[in-house]
Amino acid sequence: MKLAAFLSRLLFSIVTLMGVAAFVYPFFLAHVQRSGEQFSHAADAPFLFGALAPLLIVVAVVEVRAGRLDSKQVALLGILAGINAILRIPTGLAGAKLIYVLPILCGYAFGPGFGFLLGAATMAVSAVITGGIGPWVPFQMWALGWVGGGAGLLRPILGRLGEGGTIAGLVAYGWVAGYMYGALLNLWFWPYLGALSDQLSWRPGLGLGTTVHHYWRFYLLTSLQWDSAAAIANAILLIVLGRPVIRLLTRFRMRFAPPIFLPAESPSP
Amino acid sequence: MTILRASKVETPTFHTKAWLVWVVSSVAVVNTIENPFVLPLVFGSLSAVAGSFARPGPESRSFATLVKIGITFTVIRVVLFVATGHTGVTTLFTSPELHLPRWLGDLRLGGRVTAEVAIQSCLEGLRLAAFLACLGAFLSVTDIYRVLRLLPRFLAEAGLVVTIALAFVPTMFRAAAEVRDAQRLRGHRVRGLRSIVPVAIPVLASGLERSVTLAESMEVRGYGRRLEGSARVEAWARVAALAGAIVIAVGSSFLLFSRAPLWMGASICASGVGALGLAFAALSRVVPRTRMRRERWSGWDWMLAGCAGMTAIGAFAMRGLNPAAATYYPYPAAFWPPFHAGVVMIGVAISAPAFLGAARKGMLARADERHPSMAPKAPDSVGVAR
Amino acid sequence: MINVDRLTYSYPAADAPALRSCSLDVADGEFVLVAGASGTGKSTLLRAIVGLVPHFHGGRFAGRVTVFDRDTRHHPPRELAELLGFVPQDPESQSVVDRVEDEIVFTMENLGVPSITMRKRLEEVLDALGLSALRERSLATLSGGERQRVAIASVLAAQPRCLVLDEPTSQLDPLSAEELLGTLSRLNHDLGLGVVLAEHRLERVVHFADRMAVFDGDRIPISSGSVREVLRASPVVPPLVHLARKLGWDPLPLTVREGRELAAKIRPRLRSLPHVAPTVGDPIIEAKSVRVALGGREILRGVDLTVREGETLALVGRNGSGKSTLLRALVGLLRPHGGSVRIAGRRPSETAIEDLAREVAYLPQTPESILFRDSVSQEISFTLRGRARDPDPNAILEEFGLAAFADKPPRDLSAGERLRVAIAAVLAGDPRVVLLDEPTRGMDYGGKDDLAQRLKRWRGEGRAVVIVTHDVELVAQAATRVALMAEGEIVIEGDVHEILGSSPLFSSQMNKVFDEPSVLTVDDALLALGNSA
Repeated sequence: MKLAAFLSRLLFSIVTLMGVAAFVYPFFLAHVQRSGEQFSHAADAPFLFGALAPLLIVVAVVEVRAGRLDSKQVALLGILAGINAILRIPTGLAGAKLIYVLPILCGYAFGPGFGFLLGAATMAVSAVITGGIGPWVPFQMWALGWVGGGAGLLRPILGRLGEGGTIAGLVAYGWVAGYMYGALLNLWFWPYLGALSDQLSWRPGLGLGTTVHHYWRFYLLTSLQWDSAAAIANAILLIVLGRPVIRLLTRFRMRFAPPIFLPAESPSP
Repeated sequence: MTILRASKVETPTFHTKAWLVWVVSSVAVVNTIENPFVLPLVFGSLSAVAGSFARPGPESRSFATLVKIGITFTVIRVVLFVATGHTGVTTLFTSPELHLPRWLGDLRLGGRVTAEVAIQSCLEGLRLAAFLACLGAFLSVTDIYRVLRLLPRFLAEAGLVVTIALAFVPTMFRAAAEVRDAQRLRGHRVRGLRSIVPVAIPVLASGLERSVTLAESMEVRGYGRRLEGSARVEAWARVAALAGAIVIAVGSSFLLFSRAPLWMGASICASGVGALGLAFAALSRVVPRTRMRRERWSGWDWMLAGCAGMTAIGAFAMRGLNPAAATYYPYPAAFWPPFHAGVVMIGVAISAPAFLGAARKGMLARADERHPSMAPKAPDSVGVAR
Repeated sequence: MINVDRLTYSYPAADAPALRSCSLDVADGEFVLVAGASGTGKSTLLRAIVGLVPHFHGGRFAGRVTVFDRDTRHHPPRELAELLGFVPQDPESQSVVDRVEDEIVFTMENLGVPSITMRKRLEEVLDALGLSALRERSLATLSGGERQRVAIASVLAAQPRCLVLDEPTSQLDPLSAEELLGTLSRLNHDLGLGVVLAEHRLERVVHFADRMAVFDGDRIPISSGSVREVLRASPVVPPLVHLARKLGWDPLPLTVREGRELAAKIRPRLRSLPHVAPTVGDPIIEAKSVRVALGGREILRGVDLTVREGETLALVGRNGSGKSTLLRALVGLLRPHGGSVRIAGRRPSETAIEDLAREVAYLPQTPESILFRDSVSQEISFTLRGRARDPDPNAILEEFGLAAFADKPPRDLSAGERLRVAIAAVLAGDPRVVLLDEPTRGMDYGGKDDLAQRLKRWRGEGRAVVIVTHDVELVAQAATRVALMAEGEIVIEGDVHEILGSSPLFSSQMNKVFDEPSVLTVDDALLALGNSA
């Protein structure tokens, strides 16, 4: 049993690391030398990771619970993913401001596995509803999954802080998560842009400092404002909704304790 | 399905798997053929297909939505790149320059606007737009629930989560509107951020309650059965998946970092993927669910799959054998791309479903004409169960 | 072959047990009716039979439940799916997918039935429930009654030996309810399928049942036996049986026909009751030629309506006739494109809804859905503040008997208590007009009596009340006027005695039995016969 749990966590960690690699490879590929005119395979990295990401997300989903979800979790995930997926629509596809709140709060209340699955499911459902299915979807699933799972991992720390402290901690986490999500997702399609602009693009072999510099410019130009708005909106929503929602979820969780069987009463006449 | 008038025949659609083959082949074409002439043909074919087979309901918007996203992305990309990239020989015009300070990234915006940068960024954007359009067309013509049913069994639960969420969405809208109206009639003013609490919390709470009823309903309908000994299989599958993941990681490093030839890294990765595949197959085998076949695979589906397959092969062949016609790179100086009949044929071939569908409709209409009295009547009104 | 042996069960974190030493036997193929006031444990018993209690809900379980020789302690519900089919109350929350066929097939897929067998059973079940014409439809487009039929179809696909249904008709209109119960009776007779049914509106179903089990109040173990035996002493009875018990009729009549036979003997003693016109004030709701269109279709086609202070108007009519739409238009949630509305001295088109809320209260169809605060008193204060009144909730808590729950979260209370909290929350703050949309869904007789009393009190206080309802008995008990709607127009409007008295189809049990316009309720009947109530 212990071995199985260890293997499970190991697998999930490896897959998560590969998922992280799928986002940040432009930085660690910085030192690869280009061999002549023919681009090395490193330039195909975007496509490689693009193909890998769906596979990785499948493994992650399977590993987290998908083989072992019971009806309560499936139903709860489905309904929460439905509610959360709709929250993407008011702000359009560009700003994903409202969808962090539920994964963070549910991840905190129900555990990192549930938070991860909720984040991933939200993005999958939202992609179907809004018609925005594309190669970015697995990456969005990863990113929002981590937002939800991260909140769950914070539970042992925040749990000791009392209600106000917990909310404050989650608000801080939500603020950071807003930026991280945006920065990561931007990082997704940056390498796809190709080697055209000498100021903005990514190429393997640029050197780490230059790569970071280019990315910073690109980020500045494209999404810093949105992500700041997202981070602020996130923080506000968590402040407003955090307490009532956590209370609601905690009460809900308490309803499902495992059964206790008692001996029958003495036989009636 | 009710046939309203004897002479009106609906266009039957293809099997979902056939559509899947078609969309994969279209995507392959878009990725392989860089020649700009293929782009208008691809867009045209996709519109034709989406138009002939679009299903009623909100799903049919997918095509338009995704095309719009693609075009928007292209425009942004062109502007961005033209402002910051100045390579190329042909100058279109020169705009005033703006030099951003160091802390904002030390960017130079504006300057020489070259045709090469404009063309290449535009083409790459349009290629992505074409890719999205393929997906959009696929979504418009297929039923998402049918697509979800094609998921392998070990992902059945994940598919179920998505299905439940999709089925719940319209209910949720209605519930949220009702709650909002009722709260307004308690004097609640919907203004400012705090005011969402009286609407958000009840909706969330009702959602939680519903999930309990839903889960009960699933339980009593047998959901969640496991076969004997499945725990052991799952453990082995996990080991295999672990090995597969490690192998893929190693293979990718090979591909990206070493100077080893392509086939080495690729084959390592492939074996890792194979290990994962075995793990998934084992997991599927222990799920004791069956699936009812909802669609029949007919000769027409073979024809569609065949056409799609040949289109993809043609694209690969063209890329390998005649790269001058298939690829296009406007540097160092922009030039007019070569016109090649093969490219045109491949682009038009993407509209195969539209042609096949028209042929099929024609056959059915003619059969109908020959035996008008045999057309089925509308069924009785909604049956009272007596 | 279901045997419940001294079952005692408490939900997790509950103060008191939900079931105490409960015993019941159901033979193969029997139709058993389970009755009892709200909160006495009917739902829990049904869930215990199916195994949801304790496997799904946790809690403390003592005693034994055996289903076709299987002990539910060792068999979770999914293993009993081929023996029992369970259909809960709300047709909307049960469906997993969106298509009728897929929903029916879901059960069989879970059970690993081979594909060919699935196909065959699907066709059989579609025929058994008359769903063939609906098979390709999306569930969201079906009516409540149709959805319940689909729910039954989906559990029937597993070919169970017994169906267990928890108040399946409570969310349905009377016509669909009749159809559904008729279908169950037919399945019971033709297929030998056992049925265990919990139901509040006993008048619809007592004549179908072979046996009946009733929960007496206070969690005392149920008494069971033949239907007439149990009804003789049951605390919950349909109006006709209530009257029969008072008059000492024997055997107890279960249907209107049996009632008429017995009533024929005492008809000569029946005096017509004097008609007392209710005291009414000025018109407080005036709608003139109201036209409302929704989604491209005209729902209301020129409705004229006047309601005076002190009147209780019942809006009746079939589904889709525009009743709820009219209610919403009166309050400003919908803008009419023709005609005018004046309510409580204001025009909804010119007043913000939140301001109108000071004088007008609106109870939506599922009132519990609006509760969100952490305690009942906070919930009431919320409304009081919204209506610009003194936010001290204590008076309201007293009036509705909720003082004991003041600090509890409203959503954690039992269903009946929750409903009372919701009604209190909506009505706090002394509104002059009260609009109720289907208030008696899922209510037991006790709750309906309470509501009727409250409505009479409001009438005395000069409030105007409009109720949209299908429930004839409530109309008979509480309304002073009735307006019948169809196709977006008011077809006829008048005093309740006139309208109910002149319609053989839409009328209360008492009225159908005695055929006398002034007799609508049991109390009326007793008065008219000279007995004390």
